[in-house]
Amino acid sequence: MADILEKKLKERTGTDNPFRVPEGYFDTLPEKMRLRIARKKRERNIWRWAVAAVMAGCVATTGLILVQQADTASLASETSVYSAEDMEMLLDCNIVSNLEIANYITEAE
Amino acid sequence: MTDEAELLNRLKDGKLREQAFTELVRTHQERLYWQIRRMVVTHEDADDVLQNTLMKAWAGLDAFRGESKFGTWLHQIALHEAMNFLRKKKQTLSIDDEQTFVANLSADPYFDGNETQMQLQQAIRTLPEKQRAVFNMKYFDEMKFEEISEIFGTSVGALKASYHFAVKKITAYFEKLD
Repeated sequence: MADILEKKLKERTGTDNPFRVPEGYFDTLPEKMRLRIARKKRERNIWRWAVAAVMAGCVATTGLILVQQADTASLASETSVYSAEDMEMLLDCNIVSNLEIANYITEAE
Repeated sequence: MTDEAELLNRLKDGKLREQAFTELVRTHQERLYWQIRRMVVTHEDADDVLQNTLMKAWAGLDAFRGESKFGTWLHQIALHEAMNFLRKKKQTLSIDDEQTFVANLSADPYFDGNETQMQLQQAIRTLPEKQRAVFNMKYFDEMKFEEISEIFGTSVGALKASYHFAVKKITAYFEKLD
């Protein structure tokens, strides 16, 4: 039954291909694909470089912040024991560094 | 070593991959194109879907294990892309889309069909996407059900039933016109 229906349909409509394709389409498609793949590879490389640069920037910035915090903490721990009288004495003796002076002034304010 | 195995080796080789892929495109492009074209109808859409298919195949080369033939694998990707395209297009169609379809196809410089062939395209368009693909592969390409089964991963029996229903629907479409 199915075969009979199919046969009748083919007799009515035929099985010829009613579609056409532009001249030279299949000749140029492989090259078009090669160029598209090359472009995709370039874009992926640019993206990878950009991501790597951002990551490097983040690591460097984080490192800088951590070092600065360590310096400040270290400085604070060194000068926290000095009273005002001590500072006067030490300043007189030129023992205290400029950083310690600055930190003392900042804390006094 | 078979041609297919040799090609697979070259596709896995970073230095030879591009050249091997270009050969793959040359070998399979026409068959893939016509499978897609019969689904999406216009050349512009077929070109878009085919290029997307080939880009997806390129991106998926590392995942291809050689369990099926390259041709079968490419046809699977092509079908998936074509059906996705049709589903997305369906979401944007207008109410009088039948008239639009006929008008567009009549004006299409790459459609040389007569009135009966135009009516056949309208009838095919009423089929669900998967059934449409099965019908096209069997009716126009005269592919064996076993070949179609490898592409769809569906049993031969189910495909025969699908094709039979498609033929019945299209026959009924023409009977309504008479």
